[in-house]
Amino acid sequence: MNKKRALVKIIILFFILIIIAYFNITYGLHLFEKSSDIDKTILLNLRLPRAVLAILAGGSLSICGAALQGVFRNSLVEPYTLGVSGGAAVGVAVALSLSLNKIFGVFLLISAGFLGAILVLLLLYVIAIKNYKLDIKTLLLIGVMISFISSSVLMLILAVSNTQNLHGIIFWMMGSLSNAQNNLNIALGCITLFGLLIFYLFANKLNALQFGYDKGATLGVNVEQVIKITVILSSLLTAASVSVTGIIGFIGLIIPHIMRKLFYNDFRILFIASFLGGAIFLMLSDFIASKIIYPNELPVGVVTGILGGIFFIYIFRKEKRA
Amino acid sequence: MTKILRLENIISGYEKGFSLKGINLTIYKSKFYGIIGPNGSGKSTLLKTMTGILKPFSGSIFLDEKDFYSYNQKQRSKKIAYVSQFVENKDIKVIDFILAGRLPHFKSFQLFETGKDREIAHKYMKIFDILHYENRYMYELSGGQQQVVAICSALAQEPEILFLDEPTAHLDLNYQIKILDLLQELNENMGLTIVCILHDLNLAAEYCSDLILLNDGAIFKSGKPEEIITYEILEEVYQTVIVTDINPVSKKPMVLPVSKNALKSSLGVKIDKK
Repeated sequence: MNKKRALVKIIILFFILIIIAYFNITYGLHLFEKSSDIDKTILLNLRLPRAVLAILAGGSLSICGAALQGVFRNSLVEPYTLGVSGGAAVGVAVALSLSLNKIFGVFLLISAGFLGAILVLLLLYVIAIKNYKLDIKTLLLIGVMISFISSSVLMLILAVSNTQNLHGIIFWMMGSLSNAQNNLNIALGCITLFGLLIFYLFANKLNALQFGYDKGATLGVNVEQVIKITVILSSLLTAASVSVTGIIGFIGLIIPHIMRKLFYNDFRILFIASFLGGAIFLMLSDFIASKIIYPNELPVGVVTGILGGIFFIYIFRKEKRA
Repeated sequence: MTKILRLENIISGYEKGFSLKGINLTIYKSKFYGIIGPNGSGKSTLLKTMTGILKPFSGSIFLDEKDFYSYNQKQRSKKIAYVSQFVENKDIKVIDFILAGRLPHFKSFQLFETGKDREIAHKYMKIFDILHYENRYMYELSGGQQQVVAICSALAQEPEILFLDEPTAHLDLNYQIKILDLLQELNENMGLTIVCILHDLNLAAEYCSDLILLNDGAIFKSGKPEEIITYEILEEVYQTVIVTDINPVSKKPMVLPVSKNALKSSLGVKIDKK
């Protein structure tokens, strides 16, 4: 890995993020005119939290994708395709429909999501991984099935929820960044930074696993431990962003893939690049989603879903040929 | 002779049935061992158990006369290096593949390699004559070249024992000889202990100082190639007609396969003469 060149690219990526964030926050506002108090309020109370949420959710989903792809050694794996997002969503929806968040606050939503996500991953672990031998087709198929099941369960929850809670659930379920609030952002920010830090400390271990589990073990890596920590941490991060934004799919698939090509197949650089790339991608998607059918707004999950689904098919075809 | 690795009554394998049934084996320093045996005889299981990839169900292993599992994984990886049959992770540069061999020597949570790590990597690349590949990607190299890089990476680990799982299985004759010559050189010049699974009995007899013949999860016989590569022993283990001879150049034993047709006609000739 060429460290200098990687650093330059990271700095460029960072500036792209700043520019897009600035454009996104100030779009259509007249900040420097005299009677712009309303615009300032919009900026501080609506646009800024929303941009911060895009950075945190996009970044954390993207590093989860990178880490999961690393331990499962397959580029089609990410929180969404594994059904982890779905599991988290069911957990959050159950909590919302029981109005538990009104009693226990937002952390309960995150915990409920985490519970759902970790249950899905445990299920995958039991079914698809035995003796370190991983059947990737089974893993992906079951992941997709779990996504289907969880979207049906979400419908079920909607159907049995009372009308008071219905609005909140639907609003959240569509996958949108309009739910941005400062206290949620702070919680999500702490979890994301914690996750990024831990993942980064495990970068070399993930690098070692790319040589195969057997070779990784003889390079001094406790394979089972790395898999477990990655799985638990990804569940936590996914749950945290899903509980705020709803299901936003495919970011964890697209971004690490592009970053591997743009940078290098080394997790020491991949985690940072994926975080920045995920933040940029979600912010751009949100901009498209909020402007394309103006004055109405499209859920951002729709945009990432369409772009990501096409990308999934593209990678799948390419890997099959290779 | 110093004992470096000792297995006592090892029962090991995967969940469905045990594939190793009570292995007793001592690996001595600076020897070149070949593990041979039919498919399913437990060669890979034995290698995986000796490298710590697979934990045995029962029995004990001693590494440098200390309990194998009293070392943690990282300590073991400073003494044991492993080269797998197929080279994975081809999407990186040769230098980074070799530097990965330095990972066991990193301090916990050390993120980047030091100048010393690069020095060691370069030292072995020079010995292996692959310095000019340094910045090539692995996928640009041929299968044989990739295997050379993989062995170089394992050497950069500076292990006491090098384990290899059929390093020549899918290579052409040129690279089979090249890689085994290389291993023999490392064994003789650096005193490196090598344990290697080999499918090809002739290559095993030609290169190894000691052979371990496995059959049905147990050691059928171990010893010098001359003691193992005899038609009586091999016919019993491989359940087929085998003719052995002596290699005219190296004076090592060799195996000649005989087809059913040739066998029939040679027997026929004998009967006719009677």
